Amino acid sequence: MEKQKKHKIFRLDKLPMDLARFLLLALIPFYRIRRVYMGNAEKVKALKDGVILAANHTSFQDPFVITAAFWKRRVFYVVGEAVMSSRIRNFFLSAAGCIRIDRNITDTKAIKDCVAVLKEGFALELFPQGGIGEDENAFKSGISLIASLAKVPILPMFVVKRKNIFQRQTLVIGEPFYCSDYCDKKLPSIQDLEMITEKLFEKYEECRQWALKQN
Amino acid sequence: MGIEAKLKALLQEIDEEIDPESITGDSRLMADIGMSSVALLYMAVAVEETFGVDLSSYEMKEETTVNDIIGLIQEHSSTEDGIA
Repeated sequence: MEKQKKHKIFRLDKLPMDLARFLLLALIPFYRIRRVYMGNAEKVKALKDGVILAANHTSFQDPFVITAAFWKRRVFYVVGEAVMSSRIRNFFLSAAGCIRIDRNITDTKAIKDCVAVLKEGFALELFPQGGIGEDENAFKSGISLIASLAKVPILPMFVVKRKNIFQRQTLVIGEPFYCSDYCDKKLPSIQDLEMITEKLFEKYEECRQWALKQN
Repeated sequence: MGIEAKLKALLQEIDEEIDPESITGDSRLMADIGMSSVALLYMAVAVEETFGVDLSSYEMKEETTVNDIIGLIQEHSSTEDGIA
């Protein structure tokens, strides 16, 4: 019964989010997304439940690219407190599926919110490097912490930068994996999480190297 | 097992490099024990699951010590006892 509920097309509690998704459908012809699968495409398409979408973050457009690429799914986003600072913006962005995180404190509420949406079966977009402009080669282990707590797979991706708006937007999608593929402890240590984050980086790097070879 | 012993055991589970014997109540989580920001977040989540204390509004600083965390846990326990 639970499983049926989370895949319902219409959910009153998600109506604001669905309205935002509907408006963002206009992005599909704008981006004309080209998906390149590094591994088994069917494995990615079979991910119907909770999943963490892990991509690079070099532009404000990245969340919109991900939304357009995964338009069939309800995707939540983690957003910094600076973006959701005003009450009105906070209200609308929260309704649209944004989870506010305050990097200045030990924001366990944000972590719990992330785990909750994942357990409900939704997708969660996380940028492992952190914000725009942060080191793309230094992935933070928070993503592995959330994946391990929620017991959901991580899907590494690389958003290729378009040369101009007439070019198709390419999204290189890697192989999804679970934290338990690398560590089967009930309570992984921080060293285990760092190791899992390194594995995520390796898979992300595969996607990036493919994209660089095409250019 | 007292709160301090439980907390030390939890810290060691979270961070394999921690030696619980070397931790004292005055040990600072970041400066002395060397916990990273993710490790602190992990600890906060684990403390909430183990002791039922919500640390989300508590600002972890460089000077935050083991005793500070124990104090929060004890405060939560005494509040719960008070309500009971």
